[in-house]
Amino acid sequence: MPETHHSSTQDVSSKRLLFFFNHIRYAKDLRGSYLVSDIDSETYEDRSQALSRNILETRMQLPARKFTQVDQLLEIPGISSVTLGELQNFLGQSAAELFKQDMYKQVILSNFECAYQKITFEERALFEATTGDRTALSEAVAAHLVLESIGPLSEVEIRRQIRHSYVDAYTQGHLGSFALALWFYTFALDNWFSFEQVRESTEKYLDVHPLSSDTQTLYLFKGFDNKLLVSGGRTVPDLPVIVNHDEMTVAIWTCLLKD
Amino acid sequence: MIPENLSPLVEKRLFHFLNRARTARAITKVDLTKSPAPGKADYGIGETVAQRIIDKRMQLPRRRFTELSQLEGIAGLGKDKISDVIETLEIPAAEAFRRAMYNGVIFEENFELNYFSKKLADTSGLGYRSTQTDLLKSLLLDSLGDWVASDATPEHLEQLKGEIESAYVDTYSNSAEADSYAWALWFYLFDADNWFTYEQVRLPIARYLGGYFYGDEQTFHLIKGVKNSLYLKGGITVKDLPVVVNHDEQSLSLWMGQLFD
Repeated sequence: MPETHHSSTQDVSSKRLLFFFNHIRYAKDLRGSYLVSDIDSETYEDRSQALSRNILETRMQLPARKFTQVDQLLEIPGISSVTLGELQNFLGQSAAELFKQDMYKQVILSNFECAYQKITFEERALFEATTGDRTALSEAVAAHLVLESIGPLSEVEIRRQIRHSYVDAYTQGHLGSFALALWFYTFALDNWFSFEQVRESTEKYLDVHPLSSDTQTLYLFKGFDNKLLVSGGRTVPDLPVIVNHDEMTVAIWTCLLKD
Repeated sequence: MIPENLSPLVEKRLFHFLNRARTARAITKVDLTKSPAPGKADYGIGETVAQRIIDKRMQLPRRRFTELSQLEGIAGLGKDKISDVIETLEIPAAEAFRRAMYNGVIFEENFELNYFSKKLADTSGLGYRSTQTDLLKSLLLDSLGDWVASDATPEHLEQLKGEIESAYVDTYSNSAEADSYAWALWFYLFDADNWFTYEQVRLPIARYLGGYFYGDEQTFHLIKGVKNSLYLKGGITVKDLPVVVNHDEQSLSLWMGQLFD
């Protein structure tokens, strides 16, 4: 069984950094990147537009119109090595963590307890063997959840429910973003956020976006009772599990609404 | 003026429609006429008569129509006009939805959208708070021969039976709005964004499941993992069987689709 811990490799963060700068097209693509602070909302639009223009113009002068080395990014007016380091640290976080931060920044408030547990694999072969087989993935998820479970009775029930769940798989991030958004939406049905609002965040998480270049698959374990994992608020059925093929991680999401 | 032998269902729908209208325009508006068959769109209630209907309603106890006789004596609301409205309200909700889908969302040339409807004696076991999934499955299995392609082999039927028996039945939060997002995703999976956008397909679903102007109470279920390809052949299909239970019509509709791309 792989150990659970937080880690990110240099390769992933550099890849994400280049992907980020190669996919900036509009000022809106910078939203949530921390590259342009949105605290001062009066100048935010102007600064975002200026920076996105600078990124685009520098990129257009390169062979194949793409950044291929991190050093090339220092040619962009307004990007210093300090800024780049901060952004690299930011993008070096796991995709799940970036999504969680984006959700709290753009969609949900502190009355939601949105959290994830992460299984990290060190070896590609073991990762592929586990995530490439539905039964192996289910067993890995159940085993991980049992470690975090709240009592011996729930251990049995977790294993039973995971084993008997119908698993809905979304290999295309774009389609998965709708399914994951619906899961969040059923918590509050327009009371706290609209479907479109939450889908914008799930799209950033699961589909191609400057902030998220990873290939990911969403598995929804239908009917799983999340009360087995969290308590003290409102939950909805189904357990979202996201396999990140670049990070070699599996993120298991839970959410609680204290309404 | 009111046709005789009006069914309780149509009477309920008529009251719902007239009591729900906040403005005259809501009565004359095409929203009512988008779903019905071409040629039935214009039942000829203009804004003047519509305003008279609303004025009459405002004079009633609780400002609501509760008796058909209350519609008598509204100038301009003759037998023909009221008959046209009634004819519209007699269309089963599923059929109205199917027509609405072909009216601006999907194309007859490349998308086959069909439903199989079954009348039920009692739908109380199929409400949101009391859905008996075994009952739902047994109703579908009882009618297997009616909605599966006539050339399906015994092996096909056996496979489908097994899939339905073991399927997970998804329901969505007692909310037509949430249902509409779930069913829209089912349509969207056919061909993401090539022929229609997610929002384009979601809006008629929200109107249908929200009860339209009919006001029908409905519940939506997705029978997960069951393949469409056993009763539809030749086109692109997706998994999961959408089922709509209409508690006012006392009916169940099973939906099937295939795209010829």
